[in-house]
Amino acid sequence: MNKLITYSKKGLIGIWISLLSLTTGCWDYQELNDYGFVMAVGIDKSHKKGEYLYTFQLVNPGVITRNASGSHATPIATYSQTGRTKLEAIRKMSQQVSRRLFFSHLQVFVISEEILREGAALKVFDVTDRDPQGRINFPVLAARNTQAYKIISALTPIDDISANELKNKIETSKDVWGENRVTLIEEVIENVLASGRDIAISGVELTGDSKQIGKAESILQTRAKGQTKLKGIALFNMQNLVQWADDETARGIMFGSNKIRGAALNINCSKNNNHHLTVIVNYSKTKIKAKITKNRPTIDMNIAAEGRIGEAECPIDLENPDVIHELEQRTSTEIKKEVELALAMGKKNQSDVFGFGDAIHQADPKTWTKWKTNWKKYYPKSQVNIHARIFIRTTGLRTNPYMKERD
Amino acid sequence: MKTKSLRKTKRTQISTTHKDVNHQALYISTKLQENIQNITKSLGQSPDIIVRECRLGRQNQIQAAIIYTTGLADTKLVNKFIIEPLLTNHQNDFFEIQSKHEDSLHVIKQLLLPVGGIQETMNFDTVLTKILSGDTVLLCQGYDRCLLIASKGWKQRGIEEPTSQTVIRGPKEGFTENIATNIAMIRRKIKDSNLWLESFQVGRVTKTSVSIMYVNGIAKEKVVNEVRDRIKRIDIDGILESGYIEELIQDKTFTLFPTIYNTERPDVIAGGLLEGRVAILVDGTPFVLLVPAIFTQFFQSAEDYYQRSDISTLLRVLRYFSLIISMLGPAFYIAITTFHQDMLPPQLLISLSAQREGIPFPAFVEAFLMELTFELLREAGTRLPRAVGQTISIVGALVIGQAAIQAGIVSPAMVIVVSITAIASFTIPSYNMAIAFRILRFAMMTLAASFGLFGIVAGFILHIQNVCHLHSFGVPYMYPFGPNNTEDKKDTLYLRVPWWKMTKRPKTASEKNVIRENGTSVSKPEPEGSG
Repeated sequence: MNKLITYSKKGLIGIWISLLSLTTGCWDYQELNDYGFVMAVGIDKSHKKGEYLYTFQLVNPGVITRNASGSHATPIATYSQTGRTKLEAIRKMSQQVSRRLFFSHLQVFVISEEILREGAALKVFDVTDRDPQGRINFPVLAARNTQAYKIISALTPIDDISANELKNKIETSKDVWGENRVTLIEEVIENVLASGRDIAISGVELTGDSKQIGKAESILQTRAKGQTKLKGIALFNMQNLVQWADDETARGIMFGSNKIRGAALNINCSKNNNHHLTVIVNYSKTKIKAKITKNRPTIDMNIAAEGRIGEAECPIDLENPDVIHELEQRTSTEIKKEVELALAMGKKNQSDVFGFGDAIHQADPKTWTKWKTNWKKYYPKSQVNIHARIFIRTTGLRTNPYMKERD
Repeated sequence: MKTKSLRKTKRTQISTTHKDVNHQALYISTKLQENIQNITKSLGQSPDIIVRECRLGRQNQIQAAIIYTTGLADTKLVNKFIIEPLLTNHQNDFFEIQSKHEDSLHVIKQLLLPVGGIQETMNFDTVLTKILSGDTVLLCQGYDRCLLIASKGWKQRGIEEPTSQTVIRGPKEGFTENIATNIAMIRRKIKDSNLWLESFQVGRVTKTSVSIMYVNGIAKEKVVNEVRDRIKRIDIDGILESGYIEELIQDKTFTLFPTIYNTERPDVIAGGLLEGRVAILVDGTPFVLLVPAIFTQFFQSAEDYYQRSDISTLLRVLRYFSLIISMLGPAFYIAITTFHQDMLPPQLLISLSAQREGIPFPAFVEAFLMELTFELLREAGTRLPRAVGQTISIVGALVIGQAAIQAGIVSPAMVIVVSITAIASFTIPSYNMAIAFRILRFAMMTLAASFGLFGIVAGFILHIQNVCHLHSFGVPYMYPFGPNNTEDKKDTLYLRVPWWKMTKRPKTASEKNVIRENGTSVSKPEPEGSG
């Protein structure tokens, strides 16, 4: 009998202890539908000095999953709030939004050109980096010739959530066209703090009627009005946006900084005709080696690429290896030309976009410690040897172009 | 151990004096009528006790009585092989000649009755027990002994396919309620002289026969002795199912996890015996116990050994996953959607969030409701008469599947989680192990709702600790993982190596005779051209 009593006593104590753990409440228990999911953040200058205008794009989950025919709400909603710090704006936002803002699923960060030119890029990232809930692996975009809140407010016809649309757009374009750099927020933080490399951020601009931005009617037609478009790469000197690189120059930046995952290069078929031929680049690797000669940095940049002929509208004989070889050389020269354009722009603006500083740091750490503080003085003087080499592996399913066959 | 068995004995004490009140007689008397009266009185004048009086011998000089129970004794056998020889041999001079030198009982036993099992007794109690277990008693005037003639033969269920553990490939016969049939079924599979059987009678009132079987030389003697001791220590009025025995002899009473294996399948028992385990058979139930039992055993199906090893391994891995799902499915859902939303991919998060829009309950209550509904349906499905079983499935499908979602009480995602969990829990081959995980699931859900993933991890650690602490007849429950043994891991939770690789018996139960097969057993054709 005594045994039984001790057993039940033990059991009782066990129950009490387990009940105690329940009295602590539920820690940071939060139901899914108490959260407002922020998909994009836009930052603009406010009218007031020293204040910024923060714009948040929130998802309207109900509209996205349910058949939206009955509902007239837009799939996203944007809210703006000014504040001296981002956190101030976030907390103040509770006066406008019914739900707790949730930042873990941020897709894209858009900063207006104005702020970037002022060199305030780092200011806005502190809270993102510090917040345990937040992530820093999503791309940053620069709003070119416009305000960030407008970019974020745009409704898009195919993707419901325009933040997703922006993110997918830049990732796809990077993979197939190669003129847009995906710069993650962590890269920005890392490179602005270090001096061996300057950041480069893709730009996004508005196309069409900017008054239509954010209106449901803007997407109720096949040619949607008030849309966003990626445009160029912004070059930075330290924290300041200095110049926009477009087209070939932008692609040169991508080639030089080993970011090309795919591109389509147009070249002339032969020296004396205007027919065009497109080489699709599907692999590219850039190696940068540095050495110091006579107190002057010498950089060897080796670009090795692979590709195939994607389109040929000229009467050349692609069965001839010599022709292919000539095409390879022509394409290599084109790549080299683009990188040189980019380099020239970088040197002019003292923007070390290819990370030569890092290369010197690795090659000669002692010199780097001496140069580190005024690297921007040495940088434009650097001697850069660019070697580009592309291999054309195949001509696709066809061999000779139609034009050749017809002859 | 000793204190525990004492506790058990106390619990099962029911008035032992009951016996002594009813029958005054301890031994059979020489007077036939007195004996008959004693027997009928002791059995409460029950009309199903047949007393057939007769006179034997040429001059009808021997008064005798044949007593048996209708229904339990095989009436045909009694008439044809007991009554008929006794009465038709009237004119023979068996009794004349022999009775001068020997007693008649001896003559009847040796010369007259064409029946296999005959024994003599003087004990009144034995007589009663034998009558009640279907044997026939022959009493003669003037003898203080009687003959007990084996005549058991009652209606019983035939051998059918086992319902609790079905296989696609493998024997389809299952144990029945008759212990003799069950023993025979095992003996048919193992025809070795070392397959030993020991019988006990357990239960003061039911007098149930309980047998243990083991292969002498493979089974550990220590385990056999322990099983024997524990069964002998049982003092209870009745054993109606092997579950009684299981609960009375298991190592630890208060644990969710079964430490004794039970099965309806003779092939599983035979497999266990060959590995050195001890089988405990109980009369009146098709469920036979197997000890010692380890954790992994409950996740193995008999079929694993009949399909090729790669298939079996894959199926075991599948079961292993379903085990985790059935324990942690809803807990994970609760933890991730209420604490760790950042772990979800954005699209899924938005979709789940939209589904929760307008749901009145917190995720935990929602999950709890659904799980409870499911458990209700399952229980109803088991208990309901077959004919109305369909109704339940229709109601269940409508209630869980449609109406609850349309009414906005639960979210579709929760229904999916609960259904997957339910399906996963059915893949655990052993029913009592599946129940253990069903119960654990609720504990895990509570922990997940209070502390998120940290709660789940803490709960998991606690339960791992619990199972590692368990023993089954001296064998660590988590063997071969608990105490590590690489050799025995060849046949465990997720792995089943080919038979030609399993050359040794598991160390769980056998220690001396461990070689299962010699290395030469693989017969591959000689490669061509090799000579």
